Amino acid sequence: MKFFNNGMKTPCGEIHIVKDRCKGCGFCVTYCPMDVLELSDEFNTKGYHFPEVKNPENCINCGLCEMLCPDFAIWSTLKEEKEVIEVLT
Amino acid sequence: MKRIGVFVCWCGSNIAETVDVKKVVEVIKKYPGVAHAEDYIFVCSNPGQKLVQETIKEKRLDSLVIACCSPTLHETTFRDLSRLTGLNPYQCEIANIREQCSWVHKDNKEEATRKAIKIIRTIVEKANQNESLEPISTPVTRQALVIGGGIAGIQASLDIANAGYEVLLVERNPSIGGHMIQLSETFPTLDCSQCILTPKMVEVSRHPKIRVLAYSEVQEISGYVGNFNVKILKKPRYVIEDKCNLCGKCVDVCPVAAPSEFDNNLAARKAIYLPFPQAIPATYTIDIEHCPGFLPIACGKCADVCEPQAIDFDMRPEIIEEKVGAIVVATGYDLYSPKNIGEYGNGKYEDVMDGMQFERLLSATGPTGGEVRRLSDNKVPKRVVFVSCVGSRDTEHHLPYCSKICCMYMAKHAMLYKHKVPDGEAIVFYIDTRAGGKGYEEFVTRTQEEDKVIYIRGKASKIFKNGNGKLIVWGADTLLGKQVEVECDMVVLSMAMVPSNGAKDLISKLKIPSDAYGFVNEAHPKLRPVESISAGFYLAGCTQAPKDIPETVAQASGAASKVTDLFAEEELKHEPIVAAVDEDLCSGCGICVPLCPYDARELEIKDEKRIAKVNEILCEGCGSCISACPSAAVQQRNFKDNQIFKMVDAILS
Amino acid sequence: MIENIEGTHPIDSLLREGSIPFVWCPGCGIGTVVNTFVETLEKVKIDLGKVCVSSGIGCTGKVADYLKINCCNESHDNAIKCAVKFKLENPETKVVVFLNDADFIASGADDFIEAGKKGVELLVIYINNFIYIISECKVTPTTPFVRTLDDENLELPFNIPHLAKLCGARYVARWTTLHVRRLMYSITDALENPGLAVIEVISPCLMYYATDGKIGETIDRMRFFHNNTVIKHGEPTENLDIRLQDKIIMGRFVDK
Repeated sequence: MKFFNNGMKTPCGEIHIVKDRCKGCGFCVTYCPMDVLELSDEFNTKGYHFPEVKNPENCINCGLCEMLCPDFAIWSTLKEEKEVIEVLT
Repeated sequence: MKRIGVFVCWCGSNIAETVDVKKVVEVIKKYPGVAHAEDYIFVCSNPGQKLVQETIKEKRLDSLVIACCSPTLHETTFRDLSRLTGLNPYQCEIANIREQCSWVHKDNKEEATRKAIKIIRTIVEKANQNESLEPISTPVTRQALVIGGGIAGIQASLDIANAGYEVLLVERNPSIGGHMIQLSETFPTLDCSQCILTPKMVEVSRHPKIRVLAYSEVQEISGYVGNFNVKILKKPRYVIEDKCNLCGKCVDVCPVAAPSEFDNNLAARKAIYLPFPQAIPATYTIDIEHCPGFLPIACGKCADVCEPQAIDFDMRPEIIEEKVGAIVVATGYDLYSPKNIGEYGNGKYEDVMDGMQFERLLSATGPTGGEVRRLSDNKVPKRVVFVSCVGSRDTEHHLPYCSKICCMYMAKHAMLYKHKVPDGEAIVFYIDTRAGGKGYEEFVTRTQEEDKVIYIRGKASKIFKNGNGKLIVWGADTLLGKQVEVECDMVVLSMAMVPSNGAKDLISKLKIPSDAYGFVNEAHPKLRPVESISAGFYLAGCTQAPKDIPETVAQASGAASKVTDLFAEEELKHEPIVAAVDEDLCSGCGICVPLCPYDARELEIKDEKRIAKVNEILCEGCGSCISACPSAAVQQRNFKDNQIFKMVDAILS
Repeated sequence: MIENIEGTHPIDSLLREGSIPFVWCPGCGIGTVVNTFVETLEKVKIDLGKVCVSSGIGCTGKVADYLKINCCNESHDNAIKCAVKFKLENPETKVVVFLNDADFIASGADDFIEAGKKGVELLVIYINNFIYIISECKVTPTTPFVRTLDDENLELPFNIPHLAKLCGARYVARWTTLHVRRLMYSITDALENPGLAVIEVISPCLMYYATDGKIGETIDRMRFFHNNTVIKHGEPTENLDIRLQDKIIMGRFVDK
């Protein structure tokens, strides 16, 4: 859905993953509210499937993956603030 | 045996020309129980009434039969008269010898006279066994429920509250204001809609007698006029109203955007939002559908920046139970969706808007700050086509009724567009222009003559995009008898009004009658236009039919005055002609309970025996339960079985 | 995406070098609680020199090993004792104790009750894993239903929030490892509380408890939290027994 630009901005986050720390519990993938992540088909050095970024433009930098991760393997940072002219419906 | 007085009215020549009233009196005088019989030219006239009164006293009558016109006309007159003379009003009966006799037997005087005698005899038999009854009274809860916080609900609430009664105003959306707050300027005076509505909204919020329950819905309703019990679901806002200080920091940090309902999806709002700056109650709301989530709380940024700690993620829906005496239904309207109109692009073209979206474009608080721009490329459109009667007056495919206000708002849209874009061109496709209202016709003429809006009489047949991406409108000019093709930058569709989304569910909960399109029916189209046939329900605004703001306000005030009328009495009076149970005969089988159309029958345990009780306030005396009762334990007051048998005997003998 | 760069996690500065990988199993709730705790410390901008973490034995005992702040890792059932002593010596320091069943209720409860009665300012984060993990998954005083094979556990589990309230705790809350932000808000509130604060975090042991019972592993355990918990702030603590057939009541029960 397209919008008129009324100056409203939303944050866009960037996901950082230390894939060798990951133990493949899958919390970040399951609970990501914006469906940014998916489990990779590859293995890390420990033999776990680690998360991968599937839809980087969806990330809103909410930080839930960072909070839920028991192994300090994932976090997000603010990349930019985008003007809202369109949302997915 | 009672002493019954019979008065036979001539009704001028209406009765006397066909029925030999003298002969009737002669015969009736000899009937058992009749102590006095007399004829008079107009019994309902002042001298006639005086005659009846004097006779009651003189002859010590204890029952009265007036043979005259239909009881719908003068029953009240004579019952009041009986009461004033000291006779119980329910001892007075009407024998209808006009509508049921003289008017239908004009050509046979003899038979008409015989029939009149039979009718009067029957009623004399009934009167003979009539009991003296007292009206059933019930206390009134002097609090009104107003459903819908648009201009209709606001006006009704203010009027009822100003009369000194408590009002509960329930609104489904986070703020009151309805559709009127979205409008730019109002026809025909071009008043700013927000400027005239917001003072009323503030008045509502400050009024000590009005309680506003926004973001709430009526869930359940029971009871009867004067004593309704309502359950209202208060949806969680996740923001504590009293703590929020409207600093707006939460909106700045909220990471999710969603289409704004206030701007009709033309602009974005955040997942935590204030619908518009003047919203009442003035507090933010978290839209749970767009918020990233509460379990677990995904982002919580709003709570982090909220200094007064007004955000409560664990808020729950609340059920509020209230007692009210009257209900004003003001649920308003929605626009018919352009998605239903295939030939106009099913709503897929960004630059084909509906009337409400264009209204937001014109509004100074709108997404473009009042500039007319295209959604697709943000450019000012130089030629705009306005199409009338989209969805309305289309018996075959859409809705047969006229939406009443489209002609006017279309003229207003075209005029305001020309004011904002003087070098632009506005073309209106119309079927005919209905401008009935004070100053309306002059307004349309001004649009056509002063603002040079081109009116083409004919309906647009198709709207599509050509190869260059330009919008093309195909239509007919029925005055010239030619096909027209217009290339334009923007099209505005004047969509039909339909009852507001969700009103259907509510109406079925309230059990009030509505028409095929979902508009609530009034009790009488001419004489009772602001109330429903169900007692205690009053109508205001577009919930009844499409109408403009002045009419809505007038109807709301009318409904409010009906409510205050009801509340002025301390007790409600109800006809005592209702079903009554002989507890010794009732076997407690319960057949009557599901049969009752008014929910007036219920089973009760009394002395370890099941008894089917009658709630006299709810009973309308329809008689369904009486005919169904297998042990004849239920009898209608003054229509008992033995009374009816005697009447049947009298009419057949 | 930045891959495999050690030490860039914003919280890495609070972790001891070489502590990662943690000893805990994949998806273990202790990691999430530690993560939430250090995120909270970052967020409230507390002076890290004025924070001390104490922990005892078992999996939860490793917490003190991994954090790069003042820590003491005590022997069996001495974590609270040590924390109380530390607090009495250093009154300005915020002392946080990470405990599990073995250290808290099975042995060491006397220290806890005494600390509560004396009103020592402590924050007890109790990670309830329902089991003795290292001593071959034996039933603990908080096991909500039978786990061991030989004999039946007929005793009701300890109602920790109720015990805490009766001992005089001034802040009592219970969350799961799913309710991370709510846990964060609770830790924030509890750090400001001038008395004994107890936060129970439900995190059934993945290896020995959750896999066997009705709860399930990693994501299933999270779904269990999702479907079988209900938030009721201010619920009377006597209603807070954990029965797995009922919904587990979460919330902030005491806040004085």
